[in-house]
Amino acid sequence: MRRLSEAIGTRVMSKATAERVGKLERVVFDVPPRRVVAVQVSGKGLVDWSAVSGLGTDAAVIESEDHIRPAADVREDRALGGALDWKGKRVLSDHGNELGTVTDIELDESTGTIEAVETTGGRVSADRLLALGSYCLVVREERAAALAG
Amino acid sequence: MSTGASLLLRATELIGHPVVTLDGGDDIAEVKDVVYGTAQAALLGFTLNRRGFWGRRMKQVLAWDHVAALGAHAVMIATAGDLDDNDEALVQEVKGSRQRNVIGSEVFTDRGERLGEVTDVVILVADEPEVAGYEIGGSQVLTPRAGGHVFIPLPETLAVSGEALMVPAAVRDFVCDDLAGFGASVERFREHLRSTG
Repeated sequence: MRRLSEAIGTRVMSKATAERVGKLERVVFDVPPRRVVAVQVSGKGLVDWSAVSGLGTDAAVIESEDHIRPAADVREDRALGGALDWKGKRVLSDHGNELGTVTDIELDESTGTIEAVETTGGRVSADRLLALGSYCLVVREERAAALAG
Repeated sequence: MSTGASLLLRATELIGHPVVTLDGGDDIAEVKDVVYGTAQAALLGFTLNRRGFWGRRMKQVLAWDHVAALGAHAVMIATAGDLDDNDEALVQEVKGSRQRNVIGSEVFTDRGERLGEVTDVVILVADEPEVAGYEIGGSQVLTPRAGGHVFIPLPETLAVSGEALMVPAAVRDFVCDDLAGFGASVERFREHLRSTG
């Protein structure tokens, strides 16, 4: 398991040239958020997860600089603009109740799959994630939480 | 339905709440006003403002049927397309009902006693949100504290006009002076009405 906060800001290296390409600026998730579909190299563009060969503690390694591409759709544009950044994002249940804010995201670094989201209101398992938007992360409200609320 | 799993909200508390999409996580509007149909004793929907401090009135409205959930912090809808902008029938209904706003209506019992004036509508949020009752202000008969506010449960049926609400006299026995205890009060009142036919 890797915390996303530890990966953000690490060097991005090219496997083809062993050169430093930039640093890992942010990641882009699919909808609903289940896994990383692309990573953003600072000042360059996006690299699809399929072209990321490793997300280590010291570097993110991409196949080559040739895989860097611009945003391909509106959602990727918004992600690159920071609208979908997760850190500090409000967490809202599908019942309309605020549960806290996002503090970190736990990833399986070999597959890019989200394992859980850490929030100020507790850990939310990935199967409860419904949407990540400009306003909030929408999660399925737990029955127990609803009863307590 | 267990009252333990439900939440009571004043309709006016919803004003300013963001309208958030379940599929996008975006706040696409905020509640400007709550539209209450006196004839139906039900919430018809919401008029909307754009988000932000300078948020302008939106032409689109949110029909009650399109509300996925009402929470303590947001009104949830499935998708942005659930806002109506070409549903002329609903828009007209919204406009018409605003002229017959229940807030300010006088409340009378069927014995001819004036209980006060409606200051807010209380919504019971459960699996299916519904109107649970009214907050009544300026009541001389229901509260020892002059001008204090109390809550009265809404019977499942009642007579309404543009200016007044008619409630069964029995409602007096189910008045509650705090919102926290009101859920139980509503259930006891409805049970009472059912048992007395």
